[in-house]
Amino acid sequence: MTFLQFALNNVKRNTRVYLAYFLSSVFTIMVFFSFAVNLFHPVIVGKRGGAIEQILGQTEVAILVFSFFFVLISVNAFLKVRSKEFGILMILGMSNKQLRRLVFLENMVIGCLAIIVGITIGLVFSKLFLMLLSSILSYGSLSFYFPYKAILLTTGFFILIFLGISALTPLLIRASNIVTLLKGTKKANREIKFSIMQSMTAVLLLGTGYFMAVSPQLYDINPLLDKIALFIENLPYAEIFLTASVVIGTYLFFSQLSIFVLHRLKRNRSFYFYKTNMLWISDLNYRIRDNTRMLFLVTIFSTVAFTAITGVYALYSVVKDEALKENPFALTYTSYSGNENEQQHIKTIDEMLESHGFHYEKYQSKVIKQVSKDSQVIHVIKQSDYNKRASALGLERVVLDKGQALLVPVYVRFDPKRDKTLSQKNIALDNGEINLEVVGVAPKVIFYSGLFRNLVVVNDETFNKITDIQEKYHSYSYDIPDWLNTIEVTEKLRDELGVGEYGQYFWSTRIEGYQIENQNKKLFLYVGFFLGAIFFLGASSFLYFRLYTDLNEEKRKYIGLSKLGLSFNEMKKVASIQIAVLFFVPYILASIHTYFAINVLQTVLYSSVFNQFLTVIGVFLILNIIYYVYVRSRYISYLKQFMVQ
Amino acid sequence: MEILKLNHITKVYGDKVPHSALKDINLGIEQGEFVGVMGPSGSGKTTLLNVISTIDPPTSGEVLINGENPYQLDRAKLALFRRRKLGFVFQDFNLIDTLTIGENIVLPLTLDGQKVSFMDKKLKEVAARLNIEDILTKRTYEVSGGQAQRTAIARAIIHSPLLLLADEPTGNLDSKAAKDVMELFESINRDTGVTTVMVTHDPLSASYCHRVIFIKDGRFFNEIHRGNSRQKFYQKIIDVLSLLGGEADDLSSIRFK
Ligand SMILES: Nc1ncnc2c1ncn2[C@@H]1O[C@H](COP(=O)(O)OP(=O)(O)OP(=O)(O)O)[C@@H](O)[C@H]1O
Ligand SMILES: [Mg+2]
Repeated sequence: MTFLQFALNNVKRNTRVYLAYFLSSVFTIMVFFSFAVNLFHPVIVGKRGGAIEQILGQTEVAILVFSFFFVLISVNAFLKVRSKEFGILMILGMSNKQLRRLVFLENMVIGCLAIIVGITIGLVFSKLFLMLLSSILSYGSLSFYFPYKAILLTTGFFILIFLGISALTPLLIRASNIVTLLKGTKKANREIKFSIMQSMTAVLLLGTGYFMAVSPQLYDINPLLDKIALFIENLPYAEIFLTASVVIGTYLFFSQLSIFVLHRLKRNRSFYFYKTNMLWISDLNYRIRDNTRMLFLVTIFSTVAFTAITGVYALYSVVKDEALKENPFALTYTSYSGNENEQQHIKTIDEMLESHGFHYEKYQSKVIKQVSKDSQVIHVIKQSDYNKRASALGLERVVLDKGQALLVPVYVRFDPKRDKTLSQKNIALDNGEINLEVVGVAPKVIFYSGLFRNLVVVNDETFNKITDIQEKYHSYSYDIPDWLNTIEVTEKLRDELGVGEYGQYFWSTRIEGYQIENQNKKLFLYVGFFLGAIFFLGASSFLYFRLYTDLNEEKRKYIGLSKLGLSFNEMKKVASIQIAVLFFVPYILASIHTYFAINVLQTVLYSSVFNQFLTVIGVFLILNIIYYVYVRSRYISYLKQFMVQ
Repeated sequence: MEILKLNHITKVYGDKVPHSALKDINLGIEQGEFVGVMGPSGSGKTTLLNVISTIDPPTSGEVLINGENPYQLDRAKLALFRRRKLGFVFQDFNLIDTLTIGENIVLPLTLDGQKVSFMDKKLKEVAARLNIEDILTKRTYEVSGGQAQRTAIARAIIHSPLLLLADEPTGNLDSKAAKDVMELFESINRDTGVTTVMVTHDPLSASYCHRVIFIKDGRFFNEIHRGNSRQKFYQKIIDVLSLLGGEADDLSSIRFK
């Protein structure tokens, strides 16, 4: 047996250990490669500098960075499993140089195989991914091409990654101490310590993070709460602070709080000494302590995965809803008073819509713009015009006295606390000639989000009396029930009318914004889904490595216990609880983290995304359960061999 | 000629609560000697063997193997030193699970970059001596404890080391397998003249040695020589162990076979 054969035998015959490492590498490479195939597609390359290329490119970089750390962490876990083997080899006189060579050879064999397999699988699926992408981007079809650039890039980068990792391995195996290597992964079961202070800090940090995440929704409950919420909102770097406190809180949760809770359970003697409770509680103590870092990483990775996927899925599913709220009307044309083509344009629009067979309802409004002495802009609309729009939008009609005014929000997400124009008690028009009392705020935007800031509805009579007119707009809004099909018509109208002319007219449609958003969000969904999947896979393989590492230790323990009379069913129960804790505590914590992260997202959305959150969490729960059942059954059947029957 | 010489060896573990595992140990072992090390649990036997094995440097004192202090070598040279001059046998065998029995045995030659033909020749020799020719292609989980330990011994001697070191080689074996293994140690020592140091708890195993040294609480306690009769030697070992106290008491009931 030569040294090379020795290294190869090691890889060939150690599949159980290497498989997890190999498969996670293959998956990472496949994802990276698939993105590269998209990125280097001639059509995408042709649109150089566009948003799509940027999003794909940035994702690619993110995947690359993640891949590096992922492979590094996997290698680290993988080498830990084998510390005893290395100890034996060192005592037989293997030099550090030979150890490095062994690890290097192994890594290269696994790495090259993973690259080949990853790219092959990637090629098989590339047609599918290209189809998905082209449907997302509505580019027609992105035809299949031979992605030699993507192959070169993937091969190059991953060879670099595996080389880099191989270069780092001597740091990972502290080869100097053979005695500890020989003892393998087992550590002396030192006394477990925890500090009440740090446990409290964990609660405090998690609480702070969660509170910051929901604070925008806490308005109008209590004046003190309002102040705190506003303070948080104005805090510089609030997001970083929030993230940091949740991350550190999570770490302390595992390193301190969980041990503290178990300690409490232990003190409840009737519970602790009940049946097998003692076994799993005392064992869990050590397990959690030894696995703090792993549990922490798995939680954070799962959180990233859940949040990314819930986020993109939520954004995607509310696009239509948001478009409807953003643009209550399918098309709005607004003309300045000096525009001579107004009638001509309206006629064009009407005719174009009719010739394409669209039914529509048209609402015309006059809007006066005033600028007060303190250069405040006010827009005024009369009650009858408002009521026409209100009935079209399903709002209540209003009846105002001569001295009354109704305020209309300019943005979909309006908030009287922050938008000062909506908290005015009195309105003065014509530089104080006309004074109005505000009777309320309309519930919705009536043109489209962003048009006509500081809009006021007044009695028709009052409207006609206004003398100070800076500008008088005519705004036509079209309600088109079949708006989803207006892409073609809109394009033709754009050919005729252009985008508008400053000081003359401008117009906008719901479909255009919707289309761009929809495409963006689909792209996000596509990208976020991959990133989420990668992170989730990362989390899962850490768990696998960990369990694998512990297996020998467990074996010894259960052999001993079974001699003392532990039955198979009891072993099964104890092992199931222990594995379940490793699987589901990070899951639950990550779900809670995600819930609060989604709350932050919620503040920029108009529609609730709670259902999407539940869907994603549910799907991951199912995946987790499947994975758990599989791993548990293998684990138990492995231990069963060693139990005294 | 002294193949192994220990001068004033001490070993202290721990920084905050220092604990002396070895206290001023002096020992000389002649070429070809077969020496047993005994003592109660925790007395420092494994520590002593690790110090000799060049894997755990002493806190003070000097280890000379064949006149050379291995702890003064740099890491690469030290690895080479272990590879060529030392052979190890452990209580739990420490075989590599990914390799076959035969591959495990030739591992020291593989690490040394020897020719494959030379490996095959050596493998044949040692396998015949240890009577494990039939299991060379088996994997480690397919063989019995006694076979695994014989494999470990084969691995320890295939490169003809200067010094063969064993830590409780019979600790995990039943009495039949233990007897086989001890007879092997004896015959290897006799035929090849390899100097052997073996830590053991078992007086019966120890009775195969030429000389047994006893340590207690990290200090040299006593040493006895075998003379002609193994039976008498066994009785002497039992006597010293009972002087040592601790677990020795319950051993005296074991009958000599
Ligand atoms: N790595 C270590 N760190 C700290 N103390 C140690 C270490 N290794 C051994 N000791 C201590 O040194 C003393 C001697 O240990 P050693 O393992 O040499 O005993 P032993 O004679 O081999 O015992 P046994 O017969 O049980 O194998 C013990 O008190 C032990 O606790
Ligand atoms: Mg020992």
